[in-house]
Amino acid sequence: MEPILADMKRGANVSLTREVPGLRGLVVGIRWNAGSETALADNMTMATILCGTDGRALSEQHFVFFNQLASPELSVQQLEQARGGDQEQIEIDLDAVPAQVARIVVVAYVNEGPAQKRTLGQLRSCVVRVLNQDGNAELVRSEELANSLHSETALALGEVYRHNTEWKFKVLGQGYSKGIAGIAADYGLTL
Amino acid sequence: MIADPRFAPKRTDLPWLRRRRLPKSAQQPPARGLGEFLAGRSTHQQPEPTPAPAMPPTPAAPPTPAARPTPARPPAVVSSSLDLDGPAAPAPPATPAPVSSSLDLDEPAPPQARPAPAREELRRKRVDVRVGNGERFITSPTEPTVTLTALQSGIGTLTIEAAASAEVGDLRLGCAYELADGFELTMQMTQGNRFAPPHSKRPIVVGGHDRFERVQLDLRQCRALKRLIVYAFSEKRQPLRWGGTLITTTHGGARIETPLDVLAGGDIAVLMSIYQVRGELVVRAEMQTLFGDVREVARAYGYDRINWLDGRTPVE
Repeated sequence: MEPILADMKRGANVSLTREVPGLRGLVVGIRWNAGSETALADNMTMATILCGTDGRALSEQHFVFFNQLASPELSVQQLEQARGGDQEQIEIDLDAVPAQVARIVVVAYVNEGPAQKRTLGQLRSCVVRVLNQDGNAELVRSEELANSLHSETALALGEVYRHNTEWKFKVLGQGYSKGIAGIAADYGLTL
Repeated sequence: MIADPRFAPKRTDLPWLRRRRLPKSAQQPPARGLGEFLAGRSTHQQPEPTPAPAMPPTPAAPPTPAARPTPARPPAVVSSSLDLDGPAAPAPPATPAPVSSSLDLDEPAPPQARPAPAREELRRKRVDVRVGNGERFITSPTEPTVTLTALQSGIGTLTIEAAASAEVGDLRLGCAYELADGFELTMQMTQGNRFAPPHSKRPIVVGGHDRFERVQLDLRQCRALKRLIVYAFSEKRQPLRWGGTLITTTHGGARIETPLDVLAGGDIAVLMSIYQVRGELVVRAEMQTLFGDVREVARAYGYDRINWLDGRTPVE
């Protein structure tokens, strides 16, 4: 089934709850291809940040990733095993998202381990998509984000955010040359 | 000699240890308190002023003289269907001095009601020591432990470096580690074995030597690590003049510094242990010297699934 909105450009947004009345939950997935760069594929990491109206993470507990698989109230959960062709997925229970959360930002970064360094410029493709948690129908899909990446080691892919009573989704595609440290500084997190 | 606990005589002086947790008010006979409450005679739990006597294992203990003076029972007991303190209570109401077996749930409450301390006060709190971005924490014998947050434990690389000059001697670092799957071994640069697991294309622990001896953890794989210890030794088996500082750095630049000049004697020293507890790395300055070799250190810290070629070389 074709998504409601395919090939969404950076900066474009869509009202998910207007397109799908009664929408209760989302799956946000990242689909990337690192080709033969196994060191890059091994270190690619997805993270989700629950932010207040000031654009900063509510707390350290509101950074959801493989080592902290859920936000405290369980509204956002990272799946240990992604399905449907995505490398990583999270589930968002929209009704359970705390009122003080204004934005849920989905990022990916290359973990800077002791081994060789890799950059996102080596990705062959990278796409973010949003599914309806009820039935897994694909709602939106971003344009190819890998083309404009070079020496960046982190990327804010998209965000699910409140707009009045609606939930909207926006494609960000914003790269960070300082990696996860740059993202942590932007969102007020301690590493 | 320590007797076999299975055949040891029963301890009757520690009744509360048989519970999984300290009761809300350790000395309160529960049924009576509940009965009082349900019958509307009290508004809250009523702890007794004196500790309860030892609890004998046999419930059918005959009435014994009271071990301590207790206030008399309230004369008229109104029974409601929910009252656990019904009229069939064992203690005869006519007895002037009420009997007190320690299992007697019918213990009279003291006249003045004092609210029990809140549950939070009773629970002993353990506060984790944390170290923030760009902050520095110096471990000491009284505060040897720092707990890294889930983010600090899962992002980037954790670097442990022994900043020591030639004055100390040929100080080298090594690790004994246990992975989440139970695999145990050592990582020791001096043996040409600088990866853990050995020969891995994606090692979790990597030894190195830049300006100083160094051990690095790949935190993307922090969940695959159960625990490790970092030890220091002399490669040439010469005595070390312990000194310098062990510096542990997170990806965001938080630093834990452990002075090594407090070490004394021994051939080898365990400097640090790291345990992964539900995604958080608990970093502890061990600062323990001992005589022997890597084998003795590993055994002393319970890495007993490593077999040895000699005191320094494990069998892979």
